[in-house]
Amino acid sequence: MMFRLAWKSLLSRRFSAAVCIAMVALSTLVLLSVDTVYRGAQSAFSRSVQGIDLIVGAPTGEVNLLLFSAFHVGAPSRELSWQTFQQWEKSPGVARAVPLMLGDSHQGFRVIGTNQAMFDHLAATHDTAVFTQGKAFAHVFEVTLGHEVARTLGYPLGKELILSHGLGNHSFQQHEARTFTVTGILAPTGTPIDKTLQVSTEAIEAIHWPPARLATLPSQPTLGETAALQPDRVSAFYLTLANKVRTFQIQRAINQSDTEPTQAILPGVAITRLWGVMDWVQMALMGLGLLAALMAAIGVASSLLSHLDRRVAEFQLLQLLGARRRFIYTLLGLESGALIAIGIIAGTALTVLLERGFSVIAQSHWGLYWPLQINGFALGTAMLAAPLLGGLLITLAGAWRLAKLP
Amino acid sequence: MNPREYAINIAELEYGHRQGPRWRLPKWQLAAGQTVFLEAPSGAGKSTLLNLLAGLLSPTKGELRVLGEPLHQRHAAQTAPWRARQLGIIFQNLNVLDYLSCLDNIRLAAHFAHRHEQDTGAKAADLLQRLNLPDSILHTQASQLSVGQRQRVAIARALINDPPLILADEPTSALDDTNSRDFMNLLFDLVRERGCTLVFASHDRSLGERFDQQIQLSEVSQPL
Repeated sequence: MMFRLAWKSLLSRRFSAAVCIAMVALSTLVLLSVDTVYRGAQSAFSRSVQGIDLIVGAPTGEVNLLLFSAFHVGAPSRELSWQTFQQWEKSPGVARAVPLMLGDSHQGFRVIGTNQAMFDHLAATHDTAVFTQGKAFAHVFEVTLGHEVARTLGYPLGKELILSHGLGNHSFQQHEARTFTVTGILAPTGTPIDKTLQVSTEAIEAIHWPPARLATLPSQPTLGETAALQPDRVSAFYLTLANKVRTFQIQRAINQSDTEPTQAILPGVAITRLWGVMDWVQMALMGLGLLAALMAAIGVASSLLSHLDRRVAEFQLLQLLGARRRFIYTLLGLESGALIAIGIIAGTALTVLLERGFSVIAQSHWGLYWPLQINGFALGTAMLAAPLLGGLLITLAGAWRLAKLP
Repeated sequence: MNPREYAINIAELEYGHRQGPRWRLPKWQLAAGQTVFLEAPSGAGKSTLLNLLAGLLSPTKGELRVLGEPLHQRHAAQTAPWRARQLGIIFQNLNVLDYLSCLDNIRLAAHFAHRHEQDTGAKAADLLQRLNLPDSILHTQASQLSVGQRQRVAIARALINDPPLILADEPTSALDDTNSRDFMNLLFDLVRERGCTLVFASHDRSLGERFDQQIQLSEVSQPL
């Protein structure tokens, strides 16, 4: 009988009930998506260093090394010698070493001088094929394009391009002596690699040669063919270890290396530190979300309260018919609880739908993998706090109102 | 007469708060099966008396027994189950919940009295028939009824649990003469048939003739 009563009563004021539900649904949406967006961004960050156990560079700040090597933000202040790279590349316990030579660009996109290890690294850390088209460079004057670069510039395989010295969009100094041929286009990874071009370390070395010396090279030398093209500097390198247990040991060995000052960082730790700096963003977002939830709770309460005043006669009648007060409180709680519960379910469904839609768009447009993960804690908070708060308010108000009845 | 046989037995009843108006009723006894017309101009304490009789208010002082129940010893919040089983109450207006069907309104009363739902439907249909309401009205939403129909549904609702005592508070004041006359006839037929005690409060003296007793509330009670 009580469910019937609650149901019919809600049905009789379906418009205001719908507004209540919409209010709760929207606040749930805000609360959940604020959190999901933040966590999505966080997880995109973490993906950028997936599979990298140590990042090694010349001593600088931990965050700085992380930013220029993994996110291609900022520039290295100093470089390491190629010997150091080779020393650790061949060191037992190192499964893979990816060299990074930075400092050149093309149309504002950064160029990374690296080797086959980079593609091995991509293959190991992503489920999909490394290339959507073509293959890795096999010759010095060949280049592969990140997904975003190929999409933005519209370059097909076989396109010829020149690299610029420096990182600006309008570099004055072009490496125009030699053109590079596009041999491959990378699959989207949702990491900063999408916005880079990759060439061999030999290529970086070659384009920085004086024009006269460069002219002595054959038109398209095969990689490893010309010993003179072996670089002598490297900006940084990634290390993937065979056994993660030795990470700290190797990190210490690198940091204490006596050949030259070297710094090794754990990218996960550096990212955590970076997010630590950004902590206030999460706080602000969560604060906004909670504020939205609070507003919805107040909105629901105010709408139910205004009805309460109009329903005094109804409660009086129920009381006359012999309804205990407990029955009336429960009825009120049931009504507001139902509104809030429906609102939260609708809001959650809406969030899932929107995010699913968004992640499809994100995946296809930016190659951005947006993990759909609703924060159980936030949802739990919303689910528990809202009805509790609402129910409490309503019941208190109801009790207060009923206490004034004869 | 044994005090337990009185439907209503009041002795030295007082009600009121120290600050607010206070009100006293020295003695009033009503035998079971009687119909009584309580004439009271507004402000004479009519609502107070009816609320006391229904157990919605607790007396400040004195003795108040309704159908043998010592209401002066009960807290108002505890009287709900007793009220559901023993009383039929008809109000001036708002006797039915607009958003429920007539049947659901009647069922509500049976629900609080813990009656079985199956019996209720058939009984409600019988009562509505006696009240000259068509069967179809059973499933009509109450908001679609006329005022006269609503008050008749209220009678059905008040009688569904076969209560020994009916309290009516100005039930005809919203009705026109014809409807009012019909209402009184139907109410009396059913009350006599069942031998219920009826306390009927109104300011309209013309309704009082057919009652066993007519009481001027201002004559038996006094403000303090």
